[in-house]
Amino acid sequence: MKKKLLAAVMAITVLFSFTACGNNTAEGNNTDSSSKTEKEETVNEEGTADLTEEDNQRGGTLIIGFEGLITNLGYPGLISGSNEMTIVSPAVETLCRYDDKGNLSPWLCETYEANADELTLTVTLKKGIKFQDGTDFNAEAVKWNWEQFTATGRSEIASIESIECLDEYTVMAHLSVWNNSIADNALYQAGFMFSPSYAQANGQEAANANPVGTGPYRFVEWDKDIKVVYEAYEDYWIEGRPYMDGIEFDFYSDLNTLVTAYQSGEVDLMPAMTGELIQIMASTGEVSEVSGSLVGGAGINCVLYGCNDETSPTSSLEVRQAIAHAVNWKELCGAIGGMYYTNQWAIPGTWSYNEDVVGYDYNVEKAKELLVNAGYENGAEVNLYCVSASTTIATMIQQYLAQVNITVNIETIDQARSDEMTGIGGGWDGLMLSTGRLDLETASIYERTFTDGGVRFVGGTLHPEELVTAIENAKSATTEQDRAAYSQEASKYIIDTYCMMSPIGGTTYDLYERDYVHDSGYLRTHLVLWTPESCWLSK
Amino acid sequence: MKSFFKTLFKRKIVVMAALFVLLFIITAILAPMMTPYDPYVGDFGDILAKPSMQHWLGTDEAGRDVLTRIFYGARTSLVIGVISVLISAVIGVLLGLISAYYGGIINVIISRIIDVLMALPSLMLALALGMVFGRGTLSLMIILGVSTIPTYTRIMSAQVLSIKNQDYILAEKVVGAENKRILFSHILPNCFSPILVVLTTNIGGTILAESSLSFLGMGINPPMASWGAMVSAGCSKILINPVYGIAPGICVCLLVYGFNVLGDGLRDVLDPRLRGSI
Repeated sequence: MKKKLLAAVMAITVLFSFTACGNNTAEGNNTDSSSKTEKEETVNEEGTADLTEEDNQRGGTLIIGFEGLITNLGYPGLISGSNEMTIVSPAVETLCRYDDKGNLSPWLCETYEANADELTLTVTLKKGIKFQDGTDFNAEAVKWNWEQFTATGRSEIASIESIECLDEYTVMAHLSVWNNSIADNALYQAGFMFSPSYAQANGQEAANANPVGTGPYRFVEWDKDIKVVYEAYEDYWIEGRPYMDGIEFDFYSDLNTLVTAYQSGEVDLMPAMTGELIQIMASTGEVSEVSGSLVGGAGINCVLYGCNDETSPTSSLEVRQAIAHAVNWKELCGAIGGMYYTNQWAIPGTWSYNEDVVGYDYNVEKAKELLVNAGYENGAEVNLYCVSASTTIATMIQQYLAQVNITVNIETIDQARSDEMTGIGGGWDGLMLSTGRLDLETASIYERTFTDGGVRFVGGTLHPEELVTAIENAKSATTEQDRAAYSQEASKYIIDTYCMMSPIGGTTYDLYERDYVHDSGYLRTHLVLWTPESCWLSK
Repeated sequence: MKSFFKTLFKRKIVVMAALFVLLFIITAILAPMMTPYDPYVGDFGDILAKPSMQHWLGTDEAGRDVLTRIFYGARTSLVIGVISVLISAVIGVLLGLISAYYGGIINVIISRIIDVLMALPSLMLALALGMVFGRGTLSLMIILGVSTIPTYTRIMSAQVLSIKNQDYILAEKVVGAENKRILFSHILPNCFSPILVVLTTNIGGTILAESSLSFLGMGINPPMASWGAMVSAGCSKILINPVYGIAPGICVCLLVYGFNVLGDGLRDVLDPRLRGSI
């Protein structure tokens, strides 16, 4: 009996013990769970409500999936493409940024003034900013950056004759001739400010692989063609920024892998800059956060005619016009995707766009008539040069031109050959399917393409005097009105008078960004600009 | 002849391989009658369409019917495969025949050239020649032909060496027969069996090489249809229309498999010692 009683007591004791433990465990979990939920809610509420609440928006690493590759990272003048400019931005900042209207907005500088009468550009810098290596960001640093930029052979600020440091924070550039794009070029293109001390101490090669600027993130590593890693820079000149622990750019050579990485959560943000990637994302049902065209820094797909090779049918204006009429450029633009149509090398709706450019409507009969007039009543045979990525567009053009009995031989060339043909001293017969920069300021682009002093496509294009004069006038205009008028006049010559190129379309973009990524500024104002210092994660 | 075919098709796998090859040959010949679409004209309003009743395997990035381009791709693959192999076989056999029969300095020179060619991986050699000759069907046939010459030269050389001192050849020489007659009327026919086997299996290899070069962007010029180029283009569209890249890949596999097994079957017939080894 005693044994039974003892067993019963022990059983009850054990039962209570279990119950007690169970209660404790449950209470513990509830407590944890509720506290966790509350914390999460606080994070969400506070994060959404107020950016200055540091506890709730700090930390995390932003992973950006990138489809392009880079070759330069850290030296003035060497970084040029949009990929390089985007990737260097966490560490290296510019003197100015652009707003969504394409206007310059001071960033590292306090003010700037471009004076056409005195042929000067004066820039006053913000005080108290230091480079990440601890040296001062001052007028001497700006002077060194501009000098190095020109020394690498870049022409954007070649009109700067001399640079004078008026005081520690004021720098003045003296110009040889007035150039109304000098502010854009000097404060943005050449406005990426690298540390002179670091480059001088370590040499150009080391500096080019290790960007040191005034930015919110410090460069950590560049695993070539794989990733670029940044970590937060604690002594950044804007107090309380940056918010994240780091930024990582991961490169993907295969678009499908990039899409899969984004969908699986390996990538937080993915800019889709090509029609192909946009098509893939659309087919998988992903919704873009940002979609549209950019005012600044965008690109254009176009066909440039080889006008100078007398053996080629495209040396004849009528043949070029026939080709322009034989292709339905609007349809082609829509079919390729990731582009908006424009009939000239300018952005529709902006000051440099010429509404009076007639262009070439899709008219097969007119094309045939022009060919007959040019002496090609039995058709013609032309070469079309393109890089392998553009083969689809080339085959589409080939299909259009077959309708007017123009046989197109597609010559797929590698990038090096393309650079050779389109560079100084180059040239081509027939058609060159290529890409170019599309911006508000068209005169500089035209100068690079349609004048003797140009650097790209100049071997294939004509340089008629009236066009060259219009370009020069546009560049040296002292009023915005004149600048616009001359730029538009140049567009008219290029398209209607000489038919030297046929635009296919300006590039659009899509941005895929997870909902926990905030204030990246990516693709909101400019192709290259984003705001790493403001970006934060709520995951 | 009846016995030849009976032995050749004794095994079901060879019958199946022959059927694959026959199917693709028929497809290549009758391609225009098998589809209502033009392989080079696309509908730009129907780009990268998924498989449907109108387009059984969907459309490509230029709005062209994928199935139609596969049919025409068979034509490209077979023409390039067969002609390349014939180029390499004719040159390779002739070189092997001459070098082994005459020997001496001729043999040394030809053998060293063949050594050099053999020292280079055939795909690498084809890529290097592609840079010289440029792209295009004719260039591709020459490139692929040149890169496989050593195989035929070596086999032919070995065969000639084993035959040229046999009694019936010596008898021909004694009666004053010309070298040309000895080479082409007596030695060549007796060496042809192994060449026929290699020739058949090499067609498969060459088709694969053509597809590889087209995949790498060094193949035929657009807009011609090529399975390799289709696999390459379809690869990047795999999330949009997987069939676009996979279907031509399967065709390459089946045709190459068909030629390889057929070659093995021929070897079984022509070389009884190896019969049943696969």
